[in-house]
Amino acid sequence: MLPKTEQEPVSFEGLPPEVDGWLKETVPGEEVRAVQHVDLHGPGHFGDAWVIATDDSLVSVRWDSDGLKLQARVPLEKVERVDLREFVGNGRLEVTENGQSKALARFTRSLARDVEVTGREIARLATDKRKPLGLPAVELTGDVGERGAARCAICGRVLGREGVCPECLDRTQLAWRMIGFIRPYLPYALLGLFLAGLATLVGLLPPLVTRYLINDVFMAGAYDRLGPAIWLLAGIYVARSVFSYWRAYLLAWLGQRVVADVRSMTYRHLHQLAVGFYERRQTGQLMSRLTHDTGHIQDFVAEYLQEIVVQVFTVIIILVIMLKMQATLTLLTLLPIPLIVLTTTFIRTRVRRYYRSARRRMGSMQAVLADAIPGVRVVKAFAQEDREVERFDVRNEGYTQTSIQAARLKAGFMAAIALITAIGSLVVWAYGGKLYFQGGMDLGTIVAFTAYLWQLYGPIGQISNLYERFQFAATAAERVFEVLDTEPEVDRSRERRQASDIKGGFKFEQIYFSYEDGEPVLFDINLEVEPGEMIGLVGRTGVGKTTIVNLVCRFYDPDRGAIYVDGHDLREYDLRSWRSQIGMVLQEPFLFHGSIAHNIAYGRAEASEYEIIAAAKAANAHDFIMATPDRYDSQVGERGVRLSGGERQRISIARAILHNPRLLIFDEATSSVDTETEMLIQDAIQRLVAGRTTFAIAHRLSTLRNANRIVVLEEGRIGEVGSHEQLMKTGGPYSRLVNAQTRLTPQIVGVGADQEGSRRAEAGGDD
Amino acid sequence: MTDSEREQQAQHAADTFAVIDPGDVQFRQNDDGLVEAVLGDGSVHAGIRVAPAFPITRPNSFLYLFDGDEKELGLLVDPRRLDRESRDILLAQADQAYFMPHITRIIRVEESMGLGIAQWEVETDRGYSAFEVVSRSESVWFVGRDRIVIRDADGNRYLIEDMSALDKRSRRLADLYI
Repeated sequence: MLPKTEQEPVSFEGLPPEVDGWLKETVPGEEVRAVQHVDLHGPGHFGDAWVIATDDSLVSVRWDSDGLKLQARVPLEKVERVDLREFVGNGRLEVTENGQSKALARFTRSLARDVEVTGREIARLATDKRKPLGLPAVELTGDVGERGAARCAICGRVLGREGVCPECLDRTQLAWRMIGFIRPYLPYALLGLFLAGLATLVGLLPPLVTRYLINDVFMAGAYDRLGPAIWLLAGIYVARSVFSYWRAYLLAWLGQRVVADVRSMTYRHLHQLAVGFYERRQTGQLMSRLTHDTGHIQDFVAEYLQEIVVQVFTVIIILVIMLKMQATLTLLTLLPIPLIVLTTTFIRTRVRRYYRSARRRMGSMQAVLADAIPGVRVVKAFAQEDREVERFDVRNEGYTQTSIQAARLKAGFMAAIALITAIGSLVVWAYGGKLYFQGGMDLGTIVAFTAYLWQLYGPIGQISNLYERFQFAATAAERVFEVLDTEPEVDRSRERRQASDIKGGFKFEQIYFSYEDGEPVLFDINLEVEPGEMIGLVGRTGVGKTTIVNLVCRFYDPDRGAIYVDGHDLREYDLRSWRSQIGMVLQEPFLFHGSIAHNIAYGRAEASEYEIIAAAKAANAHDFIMATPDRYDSQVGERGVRLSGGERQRISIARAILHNPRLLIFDEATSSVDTETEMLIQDAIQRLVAGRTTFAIAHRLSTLRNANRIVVLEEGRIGEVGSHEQLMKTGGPYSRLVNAQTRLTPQIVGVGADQEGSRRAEAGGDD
Repeated sequence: MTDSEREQQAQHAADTFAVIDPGDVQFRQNDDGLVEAVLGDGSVHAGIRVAPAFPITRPNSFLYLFDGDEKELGLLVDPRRLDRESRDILLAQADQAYFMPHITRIIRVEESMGLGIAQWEVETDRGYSAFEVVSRSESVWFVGRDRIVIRDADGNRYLIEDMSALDKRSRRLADLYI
């Protein structure tokens, strides 16, 4: 195989000389028109091969251990078809000659996109040759299927979960943007830096005093100088503490203020973004940007920036002092420094690798627990306790081993650093001692020298770690800036028509819509809805029911066509005003952390207690609310009182009733409740929909019994429209769905009975 | 909202609320300490139970009344318009229905390490009390902007009506825990 370095770049011009030479022998005098490098040999080994289209022929050649081998050769005008076949992990490019298909090349998925482009080019070249001969054109068939991982737009590297390419960050620009956050607090930042400098300077004084004590007090036998020297030392220590305190306090204050600004700015911005932004990202990831990533920015602006300055400053000053004391000795003590830097960077990376591995192993240990403890009934029923224990033990052992390894490495690191720094002091005592006896250095200087040595090695270890910390901050900043740089949802409505007085008549006119280019979700939707009408949306998962609702809410605008409300294009309405007219009751009703009253009045915070109770009564929620100890002041949300699905549902209906919207959207409002609760909810819904235009999505068709008309969607188109009775009479898809569900119901009862039986059996087994 | 809608809603409210007019009811306490209600139509209901609908935010208004058979008599929105004696009787019942001393001073809050149990000693409008709170996240909650409800290990409730009205030391103790 060709060494990797020579094979790249394989482009049109970059055909390796050997292949180029081979080509000149095989198809002399033909000009190369297209080249595709592939990474698999015909039989399925990794290896280099090329598909080359010249003026007249299409050849494929592979690089074997004993040289280049022709795999296939077809005259271009004989190419009848070009096929791209996609398999798992690899694909094949085929051409058809005289009705016979031939494999031209195999390739891994990584090259699939490139091969598709080249395949199309080959088809074009063949067509050009065939046209003059009166032969039909050639087209590429087949495609490469699903897309792979997201890649960096600049360098092509695979992007991680966080969507940031660490190699392509413009770090300087990021640093400046982060520094920009300090601007409002610049005087404080400068004061903090100044204090840090003072604290450092004062911290460098004690060794000098020590030298004075040894040389001019003890060695000189001058007792009267001892008192003042001690006072001086005491003053230095007090000053250092005071400066350190103010520095630490100021910088912590600065960091917290800055990061509070960033968090608040980012959160505000998040709320201005369109729904589409959220659908492309995971909730947890976005939350971590606000909490975790902003913390890294805090570290950068508060700690990091001043540390760079202070550490470098400290190192320089100490070096100057040491050089002035004894130049040769200073240079000698610098010898261990490369060792410190190397050890720090080397061992730290390895320790971190072990800790990361330990974290992962801890995760897999927790995964066993998360399986087995909630599933304890199954484990016991199948008598698999021993196996679960063993499964856990294996992981427990793995985690322990890694943790011990990490601890060992870390202990070794500490010991190594201590030893290396000790070398420095050995040098001082050995060489300095020699100088002492030669009269070239006094005792006080030697002691002071040693003290400075320790003060020097510390910052050097720190400096070697600075780049990595900056790296963390830069990627974190990039993720935060991505949010800040995303354009807010723009209300493009020019007329800003207020929606407060709408009647709620709808007209969908030739609506086409796709979330992603090339994957249309809705085709040519035409529908008129009377004000106050209730429309049931029915159809299988993914046929576009939710998309219609998304368009109605203007989370998205249609690609083509328009929705008219009371005769005006929806896009003319003021966005906020329009949405304030929409009430939603979702399958998983969302309750906010707060009291029941607060949740019912969510859309209208100024609602009176009277209205809240009225809404709860209309939603059949009043009675169960009055049965809780804190009644309307009960806490709900994840930490509050436990409400059943049906109770949460009724609170969300009460919220919609109080909100009093002109337009209602139900998404499977009664999906997972018992029959009695469903009746209470249906009753409440009926009260709510009266006089309001309503769109209701449902899988369980029984919930649509109040709908005026039912719209059956099939693959993004309207299949049929009509009342329940009409559709049942025509015997179309809707009637088939209804019949299927009715047939299923007795079976569901049967399954329930089975469960009951097994539960009893289980209880018996426990006895 | 249009006028006709308002009318509709008022009508609906009258249908769903059995609202008791404070001018139309009297309360009296019999020798056993039980409360009787005398309604405008002359009917007498014994064993009255009072249930405040908003016990924390509106403890003395929006009171639901039930008779001895747990039959709902209706909602009494504003007891201030009752005659003095009736009002005192009713509010005493409301207070009993939802007993929640107001903390006026915090003497001590100590958290035991690792167990998440906090010992509180407080001065309330009903006198001194000491209690334990088991889980901060489940037992302490905010109502509105600054009211804080604390539920102790046994389900008793305490209220800090307004943090800023407490003395400095109490504030600091509560602040760190809450």
